[in-house]
Amino acid sequence: MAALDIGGVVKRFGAGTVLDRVDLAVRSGDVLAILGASGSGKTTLLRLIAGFDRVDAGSIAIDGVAVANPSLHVPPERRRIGYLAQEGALFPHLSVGRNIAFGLGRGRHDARIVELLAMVGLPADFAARSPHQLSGGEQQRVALARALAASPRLVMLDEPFSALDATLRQDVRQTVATALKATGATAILVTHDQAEALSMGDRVAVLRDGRIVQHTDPASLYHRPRDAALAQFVGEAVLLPAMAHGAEADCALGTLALAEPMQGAVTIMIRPEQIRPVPEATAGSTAALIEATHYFGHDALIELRLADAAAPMLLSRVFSHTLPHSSGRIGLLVEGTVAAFPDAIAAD
Amino acid sequence: MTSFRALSAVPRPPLGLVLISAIPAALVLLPIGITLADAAAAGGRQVIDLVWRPLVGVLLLNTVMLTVTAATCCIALGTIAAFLIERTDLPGRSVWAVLAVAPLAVPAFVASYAWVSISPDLEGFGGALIVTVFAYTPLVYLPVAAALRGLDPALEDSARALGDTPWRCIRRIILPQLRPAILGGALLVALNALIEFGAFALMRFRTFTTEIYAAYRSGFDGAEAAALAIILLIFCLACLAAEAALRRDAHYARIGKGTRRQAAPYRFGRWRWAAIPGFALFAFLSLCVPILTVLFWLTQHGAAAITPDEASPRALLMATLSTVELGAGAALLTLILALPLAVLSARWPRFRLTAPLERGAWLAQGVPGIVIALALITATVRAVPALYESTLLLLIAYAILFMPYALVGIRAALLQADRRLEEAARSLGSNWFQVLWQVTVPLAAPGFGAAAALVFIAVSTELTATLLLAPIGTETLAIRIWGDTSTLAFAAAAPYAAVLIALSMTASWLLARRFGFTSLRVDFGD
Repeated sequence: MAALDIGGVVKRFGAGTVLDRVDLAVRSGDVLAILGASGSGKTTLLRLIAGFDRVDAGSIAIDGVAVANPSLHVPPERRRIGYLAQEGALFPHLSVGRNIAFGLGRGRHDARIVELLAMVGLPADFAARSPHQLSGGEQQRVALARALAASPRLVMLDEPFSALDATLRQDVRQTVATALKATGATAILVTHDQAEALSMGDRVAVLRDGRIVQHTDPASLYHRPRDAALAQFVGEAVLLPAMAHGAEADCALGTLALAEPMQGAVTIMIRPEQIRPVPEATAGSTAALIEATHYFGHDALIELRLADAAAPMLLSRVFSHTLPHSSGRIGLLVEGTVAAFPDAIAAD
Repeated sequence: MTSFRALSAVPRPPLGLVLISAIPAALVLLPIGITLADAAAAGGRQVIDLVWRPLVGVLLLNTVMLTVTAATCCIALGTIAAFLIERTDLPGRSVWAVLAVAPLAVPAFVASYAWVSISPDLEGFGGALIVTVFAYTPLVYLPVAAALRGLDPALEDSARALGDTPWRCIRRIILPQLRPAILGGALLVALNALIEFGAFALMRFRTFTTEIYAAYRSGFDGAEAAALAIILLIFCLACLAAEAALRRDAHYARIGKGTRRQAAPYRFGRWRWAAIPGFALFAFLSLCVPILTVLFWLTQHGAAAITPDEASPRALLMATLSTVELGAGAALLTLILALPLAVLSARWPRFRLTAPLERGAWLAQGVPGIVIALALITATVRAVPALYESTLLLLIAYAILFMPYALVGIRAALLQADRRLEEAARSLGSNWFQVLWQVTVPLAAPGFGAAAALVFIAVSTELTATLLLAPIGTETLAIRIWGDTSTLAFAAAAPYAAVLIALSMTASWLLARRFGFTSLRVDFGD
């Protein structure tokens, strides 16, 4: 049974439609990442699931029990959800321990507090501290412990890492992923960061202009996005015009294997790391000229131009130690299959 | 040359600036010092006798009862009003928001005049309480409303997700976080009730300020006035210290920046109309009663009331002119005196004398006008008779009283003109003078204007110091209202009261429209 079932949900604010017939189902125990640019409606969707706002149409069910439709609104306090806000939203007037125990009802919960603190990687003596004495990362860990304290069946994470700096972010992300797996909770992570969505989600749903564009597993989303715009939103993409004939397509980089068979004029999408530089005149390679290189430490991007001046610029991503030294001519090979979009759709 | 400067941790301001920055603090400490010296001159034995009297017991009881009751009422009214206006679907919230602040523009002694002219039965505790509560509820409303606006909506969302109903959320999340704002506002109400003189004198309600005035009038017994002034000062400074401590300890500010989402309003559905009669009643009692009463007396012929004195258009014009002149003069003097300290505070905040000098000047909030006035009279009569009953002395008294207003305003204005912007202008090739005229002055000017306007409003509605220090022949609006009301010539006072309310309301309205309603209450926080 699905832990969360969303069917045809519509939300309007004034004249604008923020969510337009959204359907989603989340399997129990999964982490679903909802990926969208700002203004795509992703936070609104999360607020509807949590019960902070009401739906205008459609329905939401948690564990098979309806919690929202136009004539029903179960208030958030009765939905048994965990909610982790953007900057933690710790109650500033309560100690860490009392923050964590907030949803546990009356009585002392010392043992549970220590257990939860340990789960998010914090020492037991943090319970007596004030929220303002904690760093951003620690605050977010406490907020997670608070959200998980009452063993909610569904945990909502609203861009929980966006306020942290890059080095902390990876750490806290890891803690959250581990804690979610340990409790077996179903989770919904809202984010605008594609790397975060791909790395944390068991499934990823992309929201664009209030609609779900694609809902699939991370690898399929990355390698077989539904359209060209989505391909570029999910990661860096090289788009080339091509002519498809069944399992293969001809383009400026030669004949490439398609992920799905197709016919006629298409646009193909190649990820930069699929384009491998090789010595010039290697068998089967296409000749290209290095225009510029961008060094990032562990990897590097090469901007390339094909001999055919009409062809668009290409990008190749390589491990930095394999970055070609010469700035002259090289050959290019394409590894793996590529996605193709019929031109009618790619044009929009 | 740079090597030593660069090594020292805190940059040092020029010595000359530090010296002139000490003037505000010195001016504020002067009346306190004179009062203490007066009491000391009388001798310990006599001071103790003066303090240990049934009269002082009565005054203490009156003061404590009024202060505590008024503060409690203001907490209830101000907090409920702020919550309803900021966080519910109450109809007409923007109108109520204006009406909740508007009483600040009606001087308490004018409201007192209005109430007492309705019925002499109001004299005493009841009338004093009514006037205090309606005049000072905005002092609680404004900070609480600001705190409600500043609350991170994610806190309430989190509490709801953790199982709290909306009403439990108010008790467990919202109220605890409003506590500093509520208590801070209540302490300001208490402080204002302690230093109020005119409103209580007209209500014939005896407090320390009215007794100090009586002691001064009845042959000026310096020792008695000084003894009472010291007790009053202790109360006032305790309120001020408590308020400062509250600010220091308040960690309830938002931890993170959070999302700037508007918090969802509490919806009352059909019941939302139920709060309207309450607001209407509050607005009626706090605004309509004073204004309508003044209008009523305007229509009464002088002889109809027990009126020995009739207002002439000429007297009205003269009184208005001297009020405006004194207000403008005081605003200018106060700003000039406050400027060096504000510069020190904005540009050298970590210099070790900055904080003490600022705190010294801010003590002025806790020194009642009557204490300042009497101390200045004592000092000038003894030391500089030429200054006694001079306009300059009155302006100095205003500068002491309202120094904090100017300081806060100018400092905020100078911080607006960020040093980094000046540095950017320098890097673009402007010399310091061009930077001053092209960057600093345009950025800081509105803040200077606001500070001047605040001092102007405060001075034109000030009664106590004006009454005691105005040179013979100087009749301001406030003095006229006081004089006519004291002799029960309510109709004669009405034109002056009307002009004073109109002046204060217009100036406040201009200020609020430009800078928001919070600018009407000086916020001494950082």
